[in-house]
Amino acid sequence: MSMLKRMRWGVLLSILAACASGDRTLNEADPGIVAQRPAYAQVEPIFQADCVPCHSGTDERAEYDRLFDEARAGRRLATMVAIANDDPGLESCQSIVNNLEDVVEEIFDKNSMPPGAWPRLTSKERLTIERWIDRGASCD
Amino acid sequence: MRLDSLLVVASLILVAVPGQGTPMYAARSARTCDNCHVGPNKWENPPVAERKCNMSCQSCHIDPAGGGVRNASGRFFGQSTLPMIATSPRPTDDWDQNAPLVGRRDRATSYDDNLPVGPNTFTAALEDFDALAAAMDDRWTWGTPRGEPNRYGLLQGRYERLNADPMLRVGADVRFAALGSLYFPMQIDVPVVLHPTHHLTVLVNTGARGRPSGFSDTYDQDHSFYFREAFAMVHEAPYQAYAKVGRFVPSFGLKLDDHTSHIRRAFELDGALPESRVMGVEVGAMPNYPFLNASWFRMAARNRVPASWDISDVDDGWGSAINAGWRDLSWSVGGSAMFRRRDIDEGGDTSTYSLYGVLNPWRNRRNLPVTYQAEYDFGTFQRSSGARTNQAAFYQELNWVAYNSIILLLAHDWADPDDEITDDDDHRVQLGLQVSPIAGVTVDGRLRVLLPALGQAGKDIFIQLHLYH
Repeated sequence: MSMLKRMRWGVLLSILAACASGDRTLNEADPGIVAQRPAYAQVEPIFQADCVPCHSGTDERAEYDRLFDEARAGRRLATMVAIANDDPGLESCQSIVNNLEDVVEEIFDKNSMPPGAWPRLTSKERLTIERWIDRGASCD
Repeated sequence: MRLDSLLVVASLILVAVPGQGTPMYAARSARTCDNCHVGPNKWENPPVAERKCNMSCQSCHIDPAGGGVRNASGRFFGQSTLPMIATSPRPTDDWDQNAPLVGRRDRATSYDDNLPVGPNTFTAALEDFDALAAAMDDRWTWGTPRGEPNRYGLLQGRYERLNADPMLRVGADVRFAALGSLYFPMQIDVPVVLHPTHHLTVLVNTGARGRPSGFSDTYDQDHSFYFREAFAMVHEAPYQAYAKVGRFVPSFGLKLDDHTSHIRRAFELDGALPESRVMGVEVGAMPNYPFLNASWFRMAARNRVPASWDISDVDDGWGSAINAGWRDLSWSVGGSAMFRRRDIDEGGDTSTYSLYGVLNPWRNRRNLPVTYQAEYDFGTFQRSSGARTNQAAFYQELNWVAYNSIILLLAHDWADPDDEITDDDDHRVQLGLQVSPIAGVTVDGRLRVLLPALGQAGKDIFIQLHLYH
């Protein structure tokens, strides 16, 4: 009986934890946390850390072969898989801009990237990318 | 053609991993004494100050705060209790849990004179020291420390032929992972433990962290290899008290080896990252059964990777942590607090608190082989703008030991990284199977489902292979 009582604490804590939540976006709560006009230099680390490990493919055949051979020589399996699957590359600013529609859909509409059960982008990362796109997604 | 190449390479890099929350092992180990050591016929309980059996991390690990290279007791547990095929005497309660036809059949608790018998007392161990030392057959340890054996260290003869008190111990720990189409090395550790004289130990663990982008990224980039732990420790004292100085991860909450859990990652306690390492002093004591670990440390700026080999590269702020509670034979409760103080541009201030516990009804009900652990963390932090806000995270895990080495796992974790912000929380549920066919090998497979507050749910299958000694 006492054991059951103890186990109830775990369930109770779960419920309490699940109840917590704010009611404002980061843009509303702390608008100064991200520059109003982020440069690509502020966006790049986010893509490098969260996207490029898989999205390092390319649409150009010659570049495709070169990248694949490089990846194979370095035994970078994730990159090889990404290239083989012909995923859009997000390694450069221009490649991100070329795939901007997909980026917006995956990050903002679906919130489905990084994929699977990996943690999604943080509110600050999303706000940084959002403002960069809203200001024209400049590569300067 | 390309995919063929991929398959060939992938097949050469069989992947893997473990991922067992090690506090679960500790909770389960108290079922019977012979899980952790050879049981004598007439054991005489020593005074509390001399007891080593305290259900704390130090019972199995050289680092009293837990994790990493194991001592003789932890190694014995890994051989006798964890695997499907035992290479040490099997605990009496697990006599019917052996794999058929293979593995040792002798019991750790001796019921006749033909079975291994450890010394009954420290005095008996001293009297038989030479004979016990001569009987050792341990390829991963060398020598014995200078000076007379002391009553606060592990006793020779209690762990079959393992060297309970070596002067030099070298370990190895390798983890591989497969995640969908990704195959990558997660972690490599080579711990070296020098125990030149009683009461003094130096532990240096050189490791590398893996990266999902592949082998070259893992081992070619800066900071891939680094001192994961490097400290000198004074120990083997009454009540298992100790003090250590050097690089470590502060003792806080449950010592999970799932470094992706919110309760570790969100609070700069991700055991896989060099960023989580601090340099400082930690003191503690673990009589049976209260425990206390307290530390004061210097650290690097948040998200700054400190130098790999210069453990003094931690001048961006200071912190302190305390972790205390009670670990009994079938349950434990604990609480932790941690404070970090840094300038805003170095990560800002954080104050974090934790409540946690473990329950092992299996000890009292043999037909109920389940273990449960949970931790709730909450506290304040500063956003990069300087604004102060709250965060919280929760983790719970239920294990069912269907058979020795076959463990079904259900885990749930949740986090609200900023309680003022809407839709930034998520839940993650894991359903897993862990199998340890032989000592030092664990395969862990999990179906993981992420349920973010905003957008689509995601799922993946994560398989790990853990090889260790």
